[in-house]
Amino acid sequence: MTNTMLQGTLTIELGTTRAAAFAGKLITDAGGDVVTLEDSRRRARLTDAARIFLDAHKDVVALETAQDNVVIEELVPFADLVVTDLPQDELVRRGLDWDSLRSLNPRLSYVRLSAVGWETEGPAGELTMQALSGLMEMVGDPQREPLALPYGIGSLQLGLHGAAAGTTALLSAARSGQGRLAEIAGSEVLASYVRIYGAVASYYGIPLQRDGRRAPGSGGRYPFGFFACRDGYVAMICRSDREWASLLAMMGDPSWAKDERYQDLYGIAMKYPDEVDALIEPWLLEHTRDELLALAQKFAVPVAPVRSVTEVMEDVQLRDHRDFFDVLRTADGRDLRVPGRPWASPQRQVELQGPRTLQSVLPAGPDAIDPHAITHSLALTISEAP
Amino acid sequence: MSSEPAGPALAEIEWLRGVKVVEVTTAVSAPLIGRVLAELGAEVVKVESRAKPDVNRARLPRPTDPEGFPAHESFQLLHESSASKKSVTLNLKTDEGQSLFLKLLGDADVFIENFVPGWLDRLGLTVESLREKFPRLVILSASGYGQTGPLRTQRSYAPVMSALAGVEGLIGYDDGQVMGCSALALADLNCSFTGVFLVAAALKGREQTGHGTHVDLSQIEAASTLAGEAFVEAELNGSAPLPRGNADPDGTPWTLIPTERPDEWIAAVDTQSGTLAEGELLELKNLPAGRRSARETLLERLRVRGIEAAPVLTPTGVAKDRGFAARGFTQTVQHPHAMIGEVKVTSVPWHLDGRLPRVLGAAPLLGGDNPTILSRFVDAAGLADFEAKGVLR
Repeated sequence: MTNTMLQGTLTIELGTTRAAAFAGKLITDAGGDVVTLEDSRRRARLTDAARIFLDAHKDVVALETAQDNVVIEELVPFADLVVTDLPQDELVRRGLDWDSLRSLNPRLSYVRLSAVGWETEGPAGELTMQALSGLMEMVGDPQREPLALPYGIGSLQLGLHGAAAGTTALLSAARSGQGRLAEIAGSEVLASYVRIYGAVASYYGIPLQRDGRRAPGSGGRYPFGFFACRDGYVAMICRSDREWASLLAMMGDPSWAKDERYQDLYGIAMKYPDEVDALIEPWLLEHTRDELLALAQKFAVPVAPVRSVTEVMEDVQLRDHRDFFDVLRTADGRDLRVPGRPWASPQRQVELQGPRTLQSVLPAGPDAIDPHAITHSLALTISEAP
Repeated sequence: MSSEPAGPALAEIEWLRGVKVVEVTTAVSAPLIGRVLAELGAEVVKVESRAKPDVNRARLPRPTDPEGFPAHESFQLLHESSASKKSVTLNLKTDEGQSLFLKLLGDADVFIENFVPGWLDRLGLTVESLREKFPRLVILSASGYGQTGPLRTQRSYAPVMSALAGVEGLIGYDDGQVMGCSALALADLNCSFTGVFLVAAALKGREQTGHGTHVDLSQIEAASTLAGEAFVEAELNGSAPLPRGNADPDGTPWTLIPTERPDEWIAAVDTQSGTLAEGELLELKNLPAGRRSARETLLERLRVRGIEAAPVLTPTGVAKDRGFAARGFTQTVQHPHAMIGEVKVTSVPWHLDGRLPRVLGAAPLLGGDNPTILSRFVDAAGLADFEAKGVLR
């Protein structure tokens, strides 16, 4: 079963940002037990919405620094993995660094996540990793300032890498009997993303700079970007002459398209994309996103609506055919639909509850962790709509 | 004396030593899963078709390419996504080709595929039959919409998927207008590392149960999890969040401050320093061109007061940055084809047991490992016969 792949493993999540929190979420999604040690900084730094989404299936424990010795002596010996995004100097000071913990538990693996892979002169977090990586430079209007990705997506990517490296470490440790160490920096994760797809532009000699709703130079073939339509925007991409022909057929084969000038997708992409945008735009503005999606399916063209999250919740494929959305029930009885596991697996429903005490999750304690009957915990203070 | 910083210790990582992976993949999202596994120690064999090659091999020659230039071996994305692997070519529409393919799978721990759902069924190789034949095999299917449902065969590219997932609709300035991030192909790379996670998790699960599994990964669903916080906000507030511009999720604004150089910026956010007067960052942002400071001056001025501030580097700036170089951001490998020469590949950005995974080689030549890999199952004469009959196409 894909929802119990990590059953029988215990991960300690020790952090204050979305990075460690998302790593822990993925591990628990795959069936691992995750104990999240939450201090006041974590509660302050993560929004209620973030904690609801990221922590719903974990054991969240309210932790005071004075309890570190209990964690070290009574939880670490039973753990398989630690995922942390705390600064190294703090980890050393608290005796929670890799060298200290592996001497207590040689099978323990350890993932340390940071915004930057080297010493920085000041605070460094989501902003620093997006700015340093080249990512911000690639997003936004060329006539305006660079633009960030929202909702801590940089930290979430760092957390994803942490989960992937941490799970590989768990596998390696299970086979070798020796715990592993992974150190990952968010700025390097995001910079690698920019460089990997920047390869398309580099190969064709296209300058790598933000170009509004269009990929730089349309990635060498027109179109590649987001286009306005009657009720919003659609993503529209053609990578081959065949897809371009299908797009034109979808538009009713307009007479302008017969000109050779509009058969050269590389030429359009590199030299006159605005000219062709202007030819296409009037037709797009006559159609809604749903109409365009229906036409795209009929003509096999990669065109799709830019959806809001509430529209995604109504996506028939995701909702009815994939059972994708989990249901989280708040203490006051409200059901929240949120993205579930992104692989085929049963839908989950869980009641959100308050934090547990550290003693209650200690394996040797009276309320020992039972992988089959975890009390899901979450400290909630849900704000009402303004 | 060179001014280049020394890179980190490179190593052939052995975390996945002994793990064998077979993949039938195209583009980037799924091939990159295999590359990461290879650089963690697995043997990864990319099974390819000469008739329907990986899209990263199906490149049009550039006007500047010299006569005889092997465009199908040279595209940078091919190396980014398939470095460090082996390549064999098989015609899976022939009985002999299928037989060799099944022998490869019988010897493998993991099978990764990402062609349009239904392709295995059309070959008579359903996932169910593969699981029955090879109960310990971990199968990862990666696709846009997943393997089930009416839209499972819908054509998808990364920005199409992140648009359908609700992510692109959240990216824009604080005027609420959608801008998106079409340059980043976020849905693809998010899928790649979700795939690495899932393969590792499935192998770990197999250690306990002795059984493989089939993981049906949807790129759209994976992208949607990046907007999980926005889904919660929408449910709590009764309306969908709009783009909010440069800001933390809690609304704390980021300020983009222009420097004295054209289109050069620093980003800054004051979350808790208490050292700035209200509006001080905005004043810096709005200074006229002639009164703006140099980048380093601005950064120092803000950092000394406890403000998080960073230069907005361009991709070229990242490539030249000494910090990234010292961490081994890229590695250079020699391509076996002389006309291609050196290839610079982005490192997997993980430091494991203090070492950076070494890129083991450029993307393999198409079918370049037919003799070494397939000779495990058929002798040289048999291989020559298969070649003549088109089985290895």
